[in-house]
Amino acid sequence: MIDWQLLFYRSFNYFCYAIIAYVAVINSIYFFLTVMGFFTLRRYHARLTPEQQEALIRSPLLPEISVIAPAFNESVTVRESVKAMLKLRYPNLQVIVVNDGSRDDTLKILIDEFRLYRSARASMGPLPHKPIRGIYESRDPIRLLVVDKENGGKADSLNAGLDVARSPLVAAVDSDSLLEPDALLQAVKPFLEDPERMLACGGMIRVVNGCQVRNGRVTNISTSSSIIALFQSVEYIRAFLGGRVALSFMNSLLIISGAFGVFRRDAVLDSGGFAVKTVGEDMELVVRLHHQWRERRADYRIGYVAEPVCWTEVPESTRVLKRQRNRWQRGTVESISLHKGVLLRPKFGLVGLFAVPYFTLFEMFGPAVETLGYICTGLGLAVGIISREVAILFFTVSVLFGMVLSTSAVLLEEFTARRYPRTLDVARLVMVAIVENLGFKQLMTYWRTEGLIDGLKGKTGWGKMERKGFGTQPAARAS
Amino acid sequence: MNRDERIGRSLVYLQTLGTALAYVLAIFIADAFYVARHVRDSGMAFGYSFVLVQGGAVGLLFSLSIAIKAVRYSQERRWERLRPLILEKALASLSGSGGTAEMAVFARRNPMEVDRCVAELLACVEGEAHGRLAQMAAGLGLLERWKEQYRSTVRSKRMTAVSRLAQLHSDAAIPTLILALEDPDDEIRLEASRALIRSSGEKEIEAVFHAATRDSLLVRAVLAEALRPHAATVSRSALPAALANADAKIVRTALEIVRAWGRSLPLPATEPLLRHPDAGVRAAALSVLPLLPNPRRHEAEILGLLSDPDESVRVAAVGVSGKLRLASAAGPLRTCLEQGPAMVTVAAAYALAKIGPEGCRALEEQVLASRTRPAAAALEALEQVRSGRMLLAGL
Repeated sequence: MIDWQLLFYRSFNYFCYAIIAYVAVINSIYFFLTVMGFFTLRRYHARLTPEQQEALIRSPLLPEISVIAPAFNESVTVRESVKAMLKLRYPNLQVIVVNDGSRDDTLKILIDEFRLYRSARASMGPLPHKPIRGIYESRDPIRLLVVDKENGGKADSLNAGLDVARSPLVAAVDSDSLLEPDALLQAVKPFLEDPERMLACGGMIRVVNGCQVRNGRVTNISTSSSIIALFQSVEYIRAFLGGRVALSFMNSLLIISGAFGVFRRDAVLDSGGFAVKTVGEDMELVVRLHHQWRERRADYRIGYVAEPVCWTEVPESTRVLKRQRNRWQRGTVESISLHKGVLLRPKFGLVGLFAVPYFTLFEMFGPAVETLGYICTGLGLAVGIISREVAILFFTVSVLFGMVLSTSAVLLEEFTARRYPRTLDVARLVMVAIVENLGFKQLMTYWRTEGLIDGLKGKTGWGKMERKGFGTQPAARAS
Repeated sequence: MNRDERIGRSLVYLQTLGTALAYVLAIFIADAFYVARHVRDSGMAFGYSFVLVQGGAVGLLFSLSIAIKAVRYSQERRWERLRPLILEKALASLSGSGGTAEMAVFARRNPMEVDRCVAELLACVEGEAHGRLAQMAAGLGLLERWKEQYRSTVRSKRMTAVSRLAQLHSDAAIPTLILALEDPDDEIRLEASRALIRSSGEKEIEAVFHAATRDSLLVRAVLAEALRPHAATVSRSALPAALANADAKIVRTALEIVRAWGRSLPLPATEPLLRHPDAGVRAAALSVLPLLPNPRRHEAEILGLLSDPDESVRVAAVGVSGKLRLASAAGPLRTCLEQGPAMVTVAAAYALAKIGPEGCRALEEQVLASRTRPAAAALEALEQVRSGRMLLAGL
């Protein structure tokens, strides 16, 4: 006769061991990536000096670049961000703003501000996208194109921009982000160092909340007074200075943030452009590039440089943050599902054997396993299978590990970029790096689990992101 | 991937592995020598050791983050305090009114600050005073220290050494700078190259050009600017040698540097370059044609290259035809406009617009013929030329 109680106890025990093993592996990988990021940055982190920048700006050898900024209902920020883009220090630059059928007065603001006229220019690229209603150019001597098209989403707008662009390099940016004046020069550096192999390169995204912004430039860097924004500041530093640097070092980077990435236009056109049916078009494109180029056994690189900085506004309300994280998680699910053929296939090298399995097991299913871990611990405690001592120990180990990773990320920031000039800001970041593991991280895990479920169900849609606009930073909150 | 790159990458992997091992070892040591003695259950003891080491790591990282900031702050304060004193002694020593002995004492007690101060002075002093300052640096043992520092495996140390040596403008620094042309790091090679260019010695300039033709586009672009004032020197023997090189990549990069200079230079034997088997060389040779004296003598070759099998060569030939306003190219350009891929079509439309009335007539006919892509390109080019925006179009 089956002893059901014994079977339950044994199964539960094995399950707990599996969860502990999972947590041990995921933490070891995070630790490994952070440490590798640290040594990579120590060895390779170098920004272009002012003299080199001057020489490059004068050089006709610098490749032309088109900055493509999709804009949907961006009337609050579009004027300032386009002005900032036009002021970027790059000699051979064209700005292409794609108005994705905005329902507000985004197009009118652009037409009035930049004295636009409807030009005879036409899109000549091969990518499909929603119909273009008109292409506008400025009467002033500025290299600005505004593509007005029917609403089709961010990926569709990027494809329209790619079709209109003619430069060898394109930078995909969010129109509500602010690029540092030398961001393009710094981002182009890997393409100059290795023009034949480099396909795409991402830059560092930093949190603008709390900083002072004047005329589209961040003039005073400071941490935000909002705890939610502060949590995200640490999160961004950890992700961009730890994980991405290490993955880029191994040529296995799977995400170039949609807020700022530079791509070789021919490679993107060749791969079919941005996927319109996904909410994670940034990740999907990068995974697809890896997939296709490794399939062809071609020598290529997809990189990340910590120096080019793009400032972005992060949500300060839990409601908007929840929507954003849900979308990111769905994006991961879609990208991995679309390219599951890469998983564990030796011919895809480290991408197939490490990066994609890591993303599948830990980034995609990680939140669900973590949530399950919390539930099981609670359940085990309730029925007396797990002692209180073991539960507390398990929780403490996990939380402390999170703290080690977060504080090392802040330390990494101090070793490399040193963006925060005041000791007080660094102290706040370190404090937040410790505190974020006591609630915020668990909340994120829960939202991401919801995102995973929505992704597996095939839910689509972006959700609304509310903006304050840069001109008022760090003024009062948006209503 | 070259040898240095491989070594660099292996070092990163080894350092990462070493750190991870040290972390695990710390947990085992904490377990064996402390926790296991106090906790009976071995699993729990190991868990506590984990917590202990992690807690220690958080504390260490926290303290390090704050300490680094604090140390940097105090170093800056120290530098601000010492800088005027060192400057005063250095200037007194330079003007011959004493201070040499005090400088030597300062250099012994505050080597980093003296090093930094001398480097700062070297960067802003010229002429005779610069020479005396360089002598003083040698006298204080800084020259030898910088040469020694260049042997370091740490990139930042080598970089500092090369930039200090570069500021010396001294013959004694040249061997180290020439050695630095082979450094695995881009920035160091650049710094050394620019220092050698400043020395204005023909051999050194040729060495830099030679290195530039073999380096990355980044280094080439920066060095091309630095070499621009010495274009005549380079074109005497180094440039012809590079153009005659059997390696197509070197020929291409040499031509790219010439294009970057944007100066009229007597290039030896352009015809073989236009007929070169490497498409990149043909395209690069076309792009420098407008810089040559009497470029129209290559009209026949340009017209021939308008139907080159390689797209990049055709785009370059179309561009040159427009720039030189070759009326004889109107026919082939029209073919390019009608039959070429997108980039060739657009370039041909702009080239026809540049040619003048004859080209514009061809474009108007295309617009009326309404074949989608050529017509769109023609209309765009006509609008750009008639609104005076051709320069902005960048084609």
